This record gives sequence, C-alpha cells and structure tokens, in this order.
Amino acid sequence: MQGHSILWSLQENWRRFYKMKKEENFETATINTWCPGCGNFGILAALKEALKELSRKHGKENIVMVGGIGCHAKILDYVNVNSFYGLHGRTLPVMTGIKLANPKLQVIGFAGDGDAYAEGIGHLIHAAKRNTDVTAIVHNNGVFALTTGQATPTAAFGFVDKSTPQGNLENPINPVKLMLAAGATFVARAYAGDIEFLKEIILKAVAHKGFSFIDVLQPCVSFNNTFALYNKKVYRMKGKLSFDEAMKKADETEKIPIGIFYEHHKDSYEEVAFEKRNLLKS
Amino acid sequence: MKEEFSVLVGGKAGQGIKWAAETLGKFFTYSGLEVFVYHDYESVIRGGHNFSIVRISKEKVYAHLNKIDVIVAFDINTVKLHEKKLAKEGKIICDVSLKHEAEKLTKKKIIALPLNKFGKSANAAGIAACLLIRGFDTYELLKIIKDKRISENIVAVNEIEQILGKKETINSKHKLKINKKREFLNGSETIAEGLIAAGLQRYFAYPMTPSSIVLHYLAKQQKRFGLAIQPENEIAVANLALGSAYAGCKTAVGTSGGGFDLMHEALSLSGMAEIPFVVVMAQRAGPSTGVPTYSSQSDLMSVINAGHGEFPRFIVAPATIEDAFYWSSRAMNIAWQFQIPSIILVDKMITESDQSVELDRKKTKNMKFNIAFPGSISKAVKVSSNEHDEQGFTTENPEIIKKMQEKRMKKRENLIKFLHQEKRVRFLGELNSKNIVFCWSSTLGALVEAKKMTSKKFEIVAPIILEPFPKGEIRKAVSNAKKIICIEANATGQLASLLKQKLCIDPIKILKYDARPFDPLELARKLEEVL
Ligand SMILES: Cc1ncc(C[n+]2csc(CCOP(=O)(O)OP(=O)(O)O)c2C)c(N)n1
Ligand code: SF4
Ligand SMILES: [Mg+2]
Repeated sequence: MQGHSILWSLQENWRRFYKMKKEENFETATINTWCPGCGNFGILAALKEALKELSRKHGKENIVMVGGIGCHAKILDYVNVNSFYGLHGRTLPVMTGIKLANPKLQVIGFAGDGDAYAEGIGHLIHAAKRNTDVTAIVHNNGVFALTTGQATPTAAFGFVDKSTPQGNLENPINPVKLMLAAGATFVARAYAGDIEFLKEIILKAVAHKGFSFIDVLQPCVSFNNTFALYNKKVYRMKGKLSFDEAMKKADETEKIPIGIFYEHHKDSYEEVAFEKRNLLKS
Repeated sequence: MKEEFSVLVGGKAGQGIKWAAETLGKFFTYSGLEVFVYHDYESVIRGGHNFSIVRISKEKVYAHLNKIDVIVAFDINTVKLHEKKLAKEGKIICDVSLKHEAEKLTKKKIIALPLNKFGKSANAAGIAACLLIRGFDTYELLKIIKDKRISENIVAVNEIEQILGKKETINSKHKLKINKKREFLNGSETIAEGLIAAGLQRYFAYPMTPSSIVLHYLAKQQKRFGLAIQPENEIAVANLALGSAYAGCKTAVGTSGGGFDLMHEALSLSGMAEIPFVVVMAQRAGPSTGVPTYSSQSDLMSVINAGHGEFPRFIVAPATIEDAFYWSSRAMNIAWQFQIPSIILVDKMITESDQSVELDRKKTKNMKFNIAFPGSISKAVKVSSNEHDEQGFTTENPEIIKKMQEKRMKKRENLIKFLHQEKRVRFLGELNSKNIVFCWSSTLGALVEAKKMTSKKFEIVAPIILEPFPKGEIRKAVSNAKKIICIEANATGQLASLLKQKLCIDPIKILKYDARPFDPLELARKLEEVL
C-alpha cells in the first residue's frame, strides 16, 4: 500500500476541487497482453463505458475493482481505478471485506470461471447467500486460460485439452442455475461480443442493492474460440422472468439467452449487520 | 485466610462446572485476592469429565497447582480422578447420593450435602458450601451470581448455609468486600480488549478451539468497535480481512493451527501487497485435529515459516493473560505502522484460563497512520498479489522486482530498530546467574511457580517477540552461562531450535507433549534433576 503526507493530501483536495472537466478514459501505462481478438477486450470496452457513468454517479475514487488470478484479472492493470489484485479463487471474500469495511464503496469483482467455479466456488455460493451489495462479473471462457487452457467446471463434456486429452469426463455446471439456487438477488448472463448490452447489464447490476452476478460468455481465441458459436446462438431476452421461468430459461442450449434472468429485493447483509449491531447492549 | 488455597470443581459437561469455577474466581478477585483458574474439558458437549482448578492467593499467581484443598464433586468420577491431589487436611464436597461410593474411594473427609436437590442450581449450592467451609461469608457471593437463575441460586445458597450450619461448625471469619473495579478475565478477553484499545474495527473468525472465545466476546462487544463476523471458512476469513484492511478498517482474525494453515496463502499476500494483517493464533495440541480442547506450543515453527516467498512479519508470544492485552494492542499498531502481517501467538492456557488482572490501559492507544485507502484520495489505490511497481501495476522487470523486494525486506530492519523501545525478552529470577532457563508464552507461568518451589538458583529468560528474534539481548543474557535449559510444551523443542539456528545455543530440553500444561511441582522436580 502507499503512504501519503498531509501536504500531499491537501494538494490532492485542491486538485480534486479544480479538476478540469475532461472526459476520463481510465487508461493506464500498462501494455495490454491479451491475445489479439480475445473476448476480454469486449468486457474491457463495456466496463470503461459503464465506468464513465458510474464515476459521474459515485465519484471515481469510490469505485473499487477486485480480481482473482487469470487472464481476466489483468483487466485491473488496464483500468485506472482503485483495485485489489488478489489470489486465484478469492475474489469474492476480498469484495465482501471491502464492502463491510466501507459500504460507501462500489465494489465490482472480476473472476475467471476457474476462479469462481473451481477454486473459489464456495465463496461464490456464500456471497449469494449473504447478499452483500457487490457485483461479481465472471469471465466464463470454459478454460483455465492463463495456465494454457485446461478444462474448467464450465467446459463441455468431451472437451479436449492438455489435461484431459481423452476428453473431459465431467458435465459442466450451469452458473446461472447455481446462483439462482443459492439465492442471489440479481442473476444475469451476458456476452463479451455484445458490448452495448453488457454495459447496460453492468450498470443495472451495480445499481442493484444486494449481491449481483453476471456470467459473461467470453470466447478465448487461443484455447476455446466460441465466437462463431455464440454469434449464431446468443440472443437478448426481453421482459421479466419469475424464479421458475428463470430456472427453465437457464437450461436453454439450442439458442443461448442473455440478459437479466432474475432480480428481487432483499436487505443487503451490511444493512442488516449494522442494524443488528445497534440492537446489542454494550 | 492462609496464604493460599486451591479448589477443584469437577463433573460432567453440562453441569455448569466452568460457571462454578468462574464465579469463585470473580468472588475472590472482586474481594481483592489474586486468582488463577485452569479449565480442563473434553471435546464433548454433554457427559465426559470436566474440571476446573481455582487457585486463590494473597500474592499474584500465574498458574494452577495440582495440590487441592477442597474438591467440589458433581459426579463420582471427580472423586475417583482427583482425590489423590487433595492435601492432607483436604475435604470433598459432594451430593448425598455420592457419599457411600466416595467413602469407598478415599479416606479424606467427605461433606455430603443435598446439592442435586437444587437442580440446575446445584453448582451454586456447591460453591456456597465451599466458601462456607473455608470461612467465607456468602452474603457477598449473592451479589455476583447475576444469572438467568438468580432467584433459584439465592435459594440454593441460603438453604445450603442452613443445612451446613447444622452439620459443621462454620464461622465466617473472613469478611470480604466486593469491589468490581478489579477485573477477572481470560486471555481471549484481554486479547480482544487489547485489539479494541488499538482501534479494532472489524474482526473475522471461523470457530476453532481455543480461539473461539475471542470471537464470542467480540461479537457481544460489536457496538463498542464495529463488526465481528463469522464467514464461510478460514480462507474467506483471511481474504475478507485483507479486503477490509485495504478499505481502511483496522482488522484482525482469530484461529488455531488448522485454520491458520488455510490462511497461509493470504498471509503471503499480506506480505506482498503490504496490507496489515493481524492474526490471533491460539495453539492447541496437533498435528491435524489433534486434541482440540487441550494446550500445546507446537506451532512456533509454523507461524515463523508460514506462507511462500520472503516477507517480513512480526510475531509476539505474550507470556501471561495480562501481557496479552498490551501485546495485542502493540501487534495491531505494528501491523499498521509497517504494513506487515502481525501474529499474536498464544495457546489454550492463555486464551481459556482466567486470572485477576489489572490492565494498564494508559499504555495502549489507537494510533493513526497515513495510509491511502480507496475513497480517501482521488488517485487510484492499487494493491496486488503480483509483483508490482510503486503504483501497484504488475511488473516482471528485474530491476523493479529487486527494488520492491528490497523495499519490503527493509521493513524488517526498521521494525528491529523500532522494537528497541520494547521489552522484547522477560528476565526473571537471579539475573546474571550461571544457570539460564528459557521458556516462552504460557509456560512462563508454570516456571515462575516452579521457581518458588525450588532452592535452585537460575535466571528465567522468556523471549516475548519471536520474530524478529531478539538475538542481541539473548546473546548478552547467556554470555556467562554454564548451563542452559529450554522448557517447552512440544515434542521437538521449537524455541530450542531457534536458539540453535540464531545463536548456536544448544540447550538441554525439558519437553512436555501430553497436551496438558506443565505442573509447577513436577517442573520444579525436573529442574532439580537437571541443575
Ligand atoms: C492457488 C493457485 N492455484 C493455481 C494457480 C495457477 N493459476 C493461475 S491462473 C489459473 C487459472 C485461471 O483460470 P480462470 O480463473 O478461468 O481465468 P482465465 O485465465 O481463464 O481468465 C491458475 C490455475 C494460482 N495462481 N493459484
Ligand atoms: S489465452 Fe484466451 S483468455 Fe487469455 S488472453 Fe488469450 S485469448 Fe484471452
Ligand atoms: Mg477461464
């Protein structure tokens, strides 16, 4: 972490006060090392668009990005916003810790499917159950991309890769159904190839009070290029679904629906926690 | 009253043994005497055998003794297992139904009373009887049995006094006055109070004996400091804590060996990202699940070496329940000042034993540090588990890697300098003696008591800070030594191996690894053999 002097914070305040009203583009000096054509570029583009609105609304300094480890997490280096680049699989507990420390912060997490559905699946279920007001975005590419493409829990049965040369022997999990069952109060699926819609969903997810979850179908051009497949099958959903309809819809494979599957209101964990604390006698 | 005496309360889990012992402890502490209470219980919720030893003295006491003056037995097992510990004039108080069987087991005096008649208040009746036969007035006892069953307890205490008065001559010659300004606390409570004194705002823990009482205590105190929360597992606990500290809250976690193992990766992250991480690590007997409700000192090497990669850390092992207060607050402030992991290494003898304490609250304070948090400045605050540059961006550049590694390791040197103002080692007994006896953490209590029982002359050297290891002071202390002994509750001599590694000292080891604490009497005998 960085230290700062009192003088420096005075200068900071001054700077903030007189800040020129130029449009922020969130650029950093870090060179982007994603493979050309990677689906992550779509997520980055949608995020930057969403961040423009979010910084206007909440102040850029009140937005915190959290990442796991994998290709997806490099997004933190490419965006000039507060960030916690954590451990593989542990994106969600870090997000929860930040939100519980300072509920004013808008916390947006970026996990890989390896992160969220393999190494840290327990945390994901508990985050949904706990309903902390944070947003989890999963870059679902069906592979452990950064470790060169092994099958993840969302890889199809029969998927051939270095660690399963005989074909994947397991059936994939359905993240949307998993989150619905775990009690998430906002469950969505998006597609990295539909940037406009992804941006909209991110904004709605952040605006949602409580835990919001977005499974983003993210083609990995190097190890699992699903662009052609998704371009053919993906379609935007319209209208609202009941819980049962959402469960059914999540099973569709002929065509792949994207959009908000389910949203309902429940008091967030931190609201309840601080209220309960205040009821304690001390 | 004699200089000191001890009471053993025993029975099955669920009979309120701990409550009885703690009530006695509070009674004598508030009356101005010194008390130490040891709790021995099995990992069962109902049944089994639990006992507590309450040692009462005019002088400060740091450990219990296995020489007992009164046994309050709520089952026959208590008589069977502990009558050997009774002093010659010792007495056993039990329910009338146990009298016959107890007489077969012991020649010691048995005072049989209708304790069970009072149902759940049998324990209140038992301790009242104990006070009466030792010549204490029960009037003041009634003031401190604030409990759900307060009225039943009062009836029990009064009736027992009448029944006992008919059987024995009781005269309450010791009139004690209750003064609640004195504190009777266990080490979990002093640790929690120390953390609060240093500005604790968030506490995260997953239950694990013997660290859970810290969580229970803080959960009740939330209004005073912030939030105490139990997440899904210790990996979550550690990562929540790092997120919380990054976002600006003074945060701590608590666990025991197994849970701490699960936190290693996050510990290493704390080192890399330079996020303060305070861990209360309460040892129990391992390896693995081990003996969950019993004590041990076998995790020193674990906390020193935990986590991959190289990064500075602070490890303190407070030696007494009182010290745990001061050092927990120091550990918190040091973690924040240096932005490093800070481990408070204790054991069940500290977290779950009770003592009359005087906490020096003036010595602790909630220090503020200039650290940038998200939201506190307009510039992005970026932390990372990857090697990173000063701004927090990932780097693989060898020069920056080297510079950043040096920046982190430099903090160890600064920490060493900073710690010069602290009493990093405790020296007791005959200073400059040719005989040096090392110990650490709760073993100091037993050793101090053992010292009173032997005429052998020696100096006790108890390192309190174990990392960075206080080499200079220890080297000085042993420079004239002829005989060096190291006493530890583990099977390999972990402090001894540190002494060897850091200072080429090869002490004679006195080790105990039956998960029971050192008995001062037994320890005194061992020391006499060796010295
Ligand atoms: C505890 C731990 N285990 C393994 C790794 C190695 N590792 C780095 S990235 C990664 C997989 C990432 O997969 P995913 O989360 O799907 O991210 P992607 O690269 O696909 O974006 C693994 C296994 C690690 N960093 N930490
Ligand atoms: S390996 Fe796959 S996920 Fe990673 S950057 Fe390349 S295309 Fe993207
Ligand atoms: Mg992946």
